[in-house]
Amino acid sequence: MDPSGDGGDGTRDGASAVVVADRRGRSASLATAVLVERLSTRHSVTVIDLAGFGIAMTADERRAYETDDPIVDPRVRSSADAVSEASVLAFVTPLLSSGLSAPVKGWLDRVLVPGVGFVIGEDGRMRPGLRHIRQLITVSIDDRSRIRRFREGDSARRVIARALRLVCGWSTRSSWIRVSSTASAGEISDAVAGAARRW
Amino acid sequence: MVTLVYCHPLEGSLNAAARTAALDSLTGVEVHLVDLSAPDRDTSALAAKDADALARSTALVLVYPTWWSGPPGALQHWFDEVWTPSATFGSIRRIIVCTTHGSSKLVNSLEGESGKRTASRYLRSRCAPRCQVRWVALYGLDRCGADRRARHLAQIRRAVSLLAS
Repeated sequence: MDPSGDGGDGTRDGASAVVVADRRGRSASLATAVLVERLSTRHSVTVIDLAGFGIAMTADERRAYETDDPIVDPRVRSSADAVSEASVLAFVTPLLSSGLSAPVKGWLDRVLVPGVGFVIGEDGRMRPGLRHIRQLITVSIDDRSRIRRFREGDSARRVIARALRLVCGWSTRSSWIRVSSTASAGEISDAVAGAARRW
Repeated sequence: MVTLVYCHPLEGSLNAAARTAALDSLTGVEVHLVDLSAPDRDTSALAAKDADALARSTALVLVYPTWWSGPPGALQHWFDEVWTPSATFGSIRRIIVCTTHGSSKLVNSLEGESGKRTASRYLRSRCAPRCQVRWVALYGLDRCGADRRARHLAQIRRAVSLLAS
């Protein structure tokens, strides 16, 4: 975790969490820098780097999932704390196949557990747990053509724009910024700036 | 040959029972079992071996819980490593997905059922041209009783046993 911004200077109106799946790629690194710079004008920003973050939910975590204290890993706890304070949740992720990249999907599985991502009511029904999130932003590093994305189902976008948005609330806006792995710094900056006008 | 991919961290889960039901229904069939729940499994190192098995398989069976509208991270990692953009498995004519959803069918429809699209569009597009996808899903697992769980396992046995005939 790499917190930046003081969040207490009177000019910022909330916190944001940026989940970065893989910073080794040039485009991912550039996109993270541009996004953090853009968000930090109005928010305190916490970058959650998923390098070394386990992809799979462990047996201990799955057992704890059913209890009142479903988080057992300190890194998962840090992420959950950052998400709980954020009004903007952003992802920077390469897309290799139809779904979200494995690190981001593993992060969702392990961090957005009961009490964080959603709440189970006394009647057993699930209720949204991320109503404080007003904006979802995804920067996908994706070299596939539009036709290929359509043919393959574009599942990743559905996970963020529909499944995740369902636990935020329908008034939460979702921005999807697609950049190629060969995009220049200027192109990435323009793509983020273009989307940022709607935030 | 059938490749069966299993992904759930708990041995006592309904998905573990589903894996056992599927394996029992494949008696007499050569099965390549990919157990993604094994703690010491290195999916990246075993990707070539799994791809080789898929290239010789006529069917793929996936057993996993649906979390956040899609397959767990460990299974997504397997897709990323084995089902690479250049990979095709033209011998696979059937895909059977056996999955459980904590929430209802309505909630899953609103969420977009991205796991279903991954199977019916992404995986299918890399298999034989007329590959059939069978979706065997239990919705509302969090609030369902033993009878619906038993029916789910029976459905899996029926669907998977067709691969052995």
